[in-house]
Amino acid sequence: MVNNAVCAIAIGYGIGACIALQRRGSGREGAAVLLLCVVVAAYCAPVIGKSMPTVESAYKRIYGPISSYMLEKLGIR
Amino acid sequence: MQEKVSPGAWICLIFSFISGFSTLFLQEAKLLEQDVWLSYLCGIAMSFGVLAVLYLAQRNYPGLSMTEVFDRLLGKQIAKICLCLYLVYILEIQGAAFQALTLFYRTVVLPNTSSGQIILLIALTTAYASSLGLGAIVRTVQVLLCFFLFFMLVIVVFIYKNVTINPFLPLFQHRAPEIAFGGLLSLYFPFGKSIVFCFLFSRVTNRKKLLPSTLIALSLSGLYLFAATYLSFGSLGMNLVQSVTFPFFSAIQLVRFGEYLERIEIMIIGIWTVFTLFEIIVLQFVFMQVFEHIFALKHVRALALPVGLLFFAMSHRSFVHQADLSFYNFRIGPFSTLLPTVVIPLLLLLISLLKRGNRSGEGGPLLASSDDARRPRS
Repeated sequence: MVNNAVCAIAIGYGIGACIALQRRGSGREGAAVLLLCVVVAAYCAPVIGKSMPTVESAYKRIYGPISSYMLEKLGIR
Repeated sequence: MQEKVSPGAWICLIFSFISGFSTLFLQEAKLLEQDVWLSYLCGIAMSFGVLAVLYLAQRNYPGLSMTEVFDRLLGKQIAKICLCLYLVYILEIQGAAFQALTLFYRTVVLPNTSSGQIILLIALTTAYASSLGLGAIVRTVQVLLCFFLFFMLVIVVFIYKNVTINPFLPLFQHRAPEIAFGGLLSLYFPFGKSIVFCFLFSRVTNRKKLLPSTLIALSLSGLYLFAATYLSFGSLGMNLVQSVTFPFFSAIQLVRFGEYLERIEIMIIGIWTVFTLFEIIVLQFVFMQVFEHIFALKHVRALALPVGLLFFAMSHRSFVHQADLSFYNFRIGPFSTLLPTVVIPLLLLLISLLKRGNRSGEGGPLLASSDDARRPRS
């Protein structure tokens, strides 16, 4: 429920702010706002949101083996 | 017109940033027990060392902000990649911060509220606060710090009355590898987070007092964490500290004032929450600064809401289970923090020293040609 609301707000705000900023002559800033809002909407979308990669999942995959090896070498728990 | 921060305000800001969350889980204390003071000292020393390294790297470019120094030292493209790494680092620690705060609130105060609602509320509040600018943030910190210190002092005095065992003895019961890992844990959380302040170095009015102020702030937050840890040991005992999720709050719960005022921790939670929010506000502010530099944007207030919602989205999808957070904080975080917190600053210092040596004519031919090529453009 919260996710769907944020997804809708993000898309609406992104499009609105992008148009308003382009009218004011800040086209780059408008594009940046729209990019951020699209990313937010992707993360909050009902189906694809759950499978989007997060920093936690990416780092777990990258640093997990290093961490297990180091902790084993240090002899901690 | 960029708002400037005085050295005293800088101390207050760093102290609030670190001390908000530092007493929440006391993870190193659970690992090292009485010897945890060694890991705190290591964490403070390493964090100060990293900030000093970045200050030294920036010394050759006095008028520039840290993001511009990255551009000068690394070249625009590599600097963009490194700064993106720092954006990812900010997203990492803010995700853990949001979920830690939400976990605390759902455990202690609001068990029937969904985590999404709490995270959204925090995200919107902090997005608005970070859009007000550094001057407003710093002034708010200075006002609220008095209340925080007053309440914490009162609580510390009353917890001290509950202390039944000597929390300092026996000393040196743990092996050197465990203490080293404890130092790494302290670097990951809470002291190493202060690296984000390198992006605000250019905002301090008196550059000569920057490093001493940073050291004072780190030491004071270390002192506060030390007091909270050993008071928890003394009043709860070692076994209870290791088994409860929030040891310091359990120690506060034992405090009684007179005959009637029993649930004093509710007031402390209110004050404490405001300080944890300061960490998230500063993270959002720095995120916006770095993001604006990477994409060469002018500062617009319209960016504040999308950044806040990005923080919400990323946090809501991370650390879904409580065990994920403790697993990440103990096993992944200490290693993932090394790249942005240690490796990149040392790399910057090395390049800065090589460039300075090269400019004075002592360096090798390798850097001379790239410097000559760069000179006409800058």
